[in-house]
Amino acid sequence: MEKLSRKNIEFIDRYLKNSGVEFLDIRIEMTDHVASAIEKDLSENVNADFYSAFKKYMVRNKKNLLKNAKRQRWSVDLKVLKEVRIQLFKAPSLLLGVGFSVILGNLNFVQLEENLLFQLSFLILFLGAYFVPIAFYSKLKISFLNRLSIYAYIINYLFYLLLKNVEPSPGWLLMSYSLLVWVNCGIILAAFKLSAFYKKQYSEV
Amino acid sequence: MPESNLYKGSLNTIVLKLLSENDKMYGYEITQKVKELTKGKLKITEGALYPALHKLEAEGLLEVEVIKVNNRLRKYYRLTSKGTKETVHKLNELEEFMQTLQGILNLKPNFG
Repeated sequence: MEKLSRKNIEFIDRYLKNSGVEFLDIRIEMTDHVASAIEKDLSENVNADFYSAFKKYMVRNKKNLLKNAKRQRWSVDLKVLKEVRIQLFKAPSLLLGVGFSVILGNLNFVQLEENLLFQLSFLILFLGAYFVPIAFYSKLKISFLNRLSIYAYIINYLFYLLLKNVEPSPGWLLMSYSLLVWVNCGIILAAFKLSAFYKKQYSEV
Repeated sequence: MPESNLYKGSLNTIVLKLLSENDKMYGYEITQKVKELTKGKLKITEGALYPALHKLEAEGLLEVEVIKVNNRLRKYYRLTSKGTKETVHKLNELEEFMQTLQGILNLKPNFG
């Protein structure tokens, strides 16, 4: 069977990127699919060239290809949530969440919560949960990291709204903060785990 | 795929069945195998296949291996042990469904 050159592959990849397929993991698979279809066409039509085969393929299939890219969001979200759930029950997240609750439970939490330094340290944690996936995503545009940062933003924003509009009792306040530490740790660990996994998988990109 | 919900509902079963008979397959290979086995009657589009594959992967029924082939990366899918069990379950379910329908519709399919 006819094999496409590296230049042909890069052409397909660039075309898909310019057509809005931003995520690397999705684009890699699409590129392979398009390339395989073109290779088959070229092996069956000896007089055809790459560009005419590519054009013929895209005229027939571009709409379906791009529809495919959009429809993958649900399975990506499911994977993200599964990974965060796994990381939530790993030692670092549990230790930090429970540890936070135990340590601060013995202090005057209400007074502490009003302390600017305390609020600043929490802000850093929230920003960490949001920006760590984004930092990884800037180097490796994997769909999971993008979705993970969105979930981090939503969770922390909802917490911020809750704190702003509701005045819980000290006990509930401590539990809410502990829960947030726990969840944000899970998100940050998931970002590291997913980034390392995909970096290894796509090391040849 | 042909515009029929009969086919749409069985895409996952088709994918699981094919992977149970092959060590590993990639997306394009699956579409071509289905086309070959159905003599061109059933054509699975990318828009249907890849979301199904990724959903099965997210559910833990498939695992993925990425290999460099012909100047690009290719994602191969294979069944996990959970996927193997689910394949048997899905096929039994489909067989039961067909038997139930047969009782009602009394069709005379030609499986020759």
